Amino acid sequence: MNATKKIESKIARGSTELAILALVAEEPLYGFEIAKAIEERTNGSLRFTLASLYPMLYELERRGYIRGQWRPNAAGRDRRYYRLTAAGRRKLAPLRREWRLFFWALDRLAGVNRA
Amino acid sequence: MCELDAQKRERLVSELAAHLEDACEARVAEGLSDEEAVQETLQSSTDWPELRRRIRRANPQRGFNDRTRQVWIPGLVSLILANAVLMFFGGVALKPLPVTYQPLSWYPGVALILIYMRWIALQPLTGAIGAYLSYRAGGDRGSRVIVGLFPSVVMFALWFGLIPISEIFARNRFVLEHPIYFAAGAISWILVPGMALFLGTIPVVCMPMRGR
Repeated sequence: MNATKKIESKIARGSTELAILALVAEEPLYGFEIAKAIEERTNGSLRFTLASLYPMLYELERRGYIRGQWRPNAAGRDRRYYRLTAAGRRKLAPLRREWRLFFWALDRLAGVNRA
Repeated sequence: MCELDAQKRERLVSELAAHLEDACEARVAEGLSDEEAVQETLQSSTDWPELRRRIRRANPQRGFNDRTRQVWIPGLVSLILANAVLMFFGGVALKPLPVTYQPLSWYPGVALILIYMRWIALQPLTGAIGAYLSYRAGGDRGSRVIVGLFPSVVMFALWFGLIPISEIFARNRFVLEHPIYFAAGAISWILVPGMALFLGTIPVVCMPMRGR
């Protein structure tokens, strides 16, 4: 039971990391925009709460994969925009490969793509 | 919130407030009334204890704690700097007096005053450097003031701590017999340098918190 929970937690954590890095690789975004983009692009299947989004943003920034900077948004309000760093770009490519491999393996095993 | 330093805490609070503001506005745009939007945003926003736990995990304490980085290390740097400058001027200006210079008995006094004046002139820079190091480490205004004044704070502790103790334990009667010298020393080595240090600290204290 505990081992299952650990795996679930690692999958959730890994997917959050990938989702954020992939989004900010396209353009600098602030927290709310990231959460909104994830929800919209997955048709609401994935939803990030404050508790899942911001700690991950801070951890990714601490690890040097993204960098935040305060600047005004379109409405003129200060927001902390996150952009991908060079280290983040280097991290994103293998992360994408790992997940592709993971889904390929899962598909072979359980036919997830055909389900 | 959590055990974050002031800078990280301010940033986190600003970001969460901005997020809630945007979420609320999005709900108003969807057709909810202001009141409904606020209520729904607050209800659906998050599990606060979980957020606290995760933020703590995302910011592990590594190496020195914040107080050490923001107060003790910059304070020590400014103390060493203040003393190094004094030692430098002392080493450069004070030479052993040759016997032939004996008639110029006023010389050491003038030389000491010159050393002191040069030292005082550099104290604003010392205070500014210490306060800036504290600022770089995320120190709030209080920390920057303490660090800027650190050499004088240490001198104050020595002057009013060690000297009275020596009065008692070493039976040093000097202060009791010469209170004017004691007071003059306190003014020369605590008050005046403290004012000079503070002068250099002011611009750094006025700088906004880092991170925003």
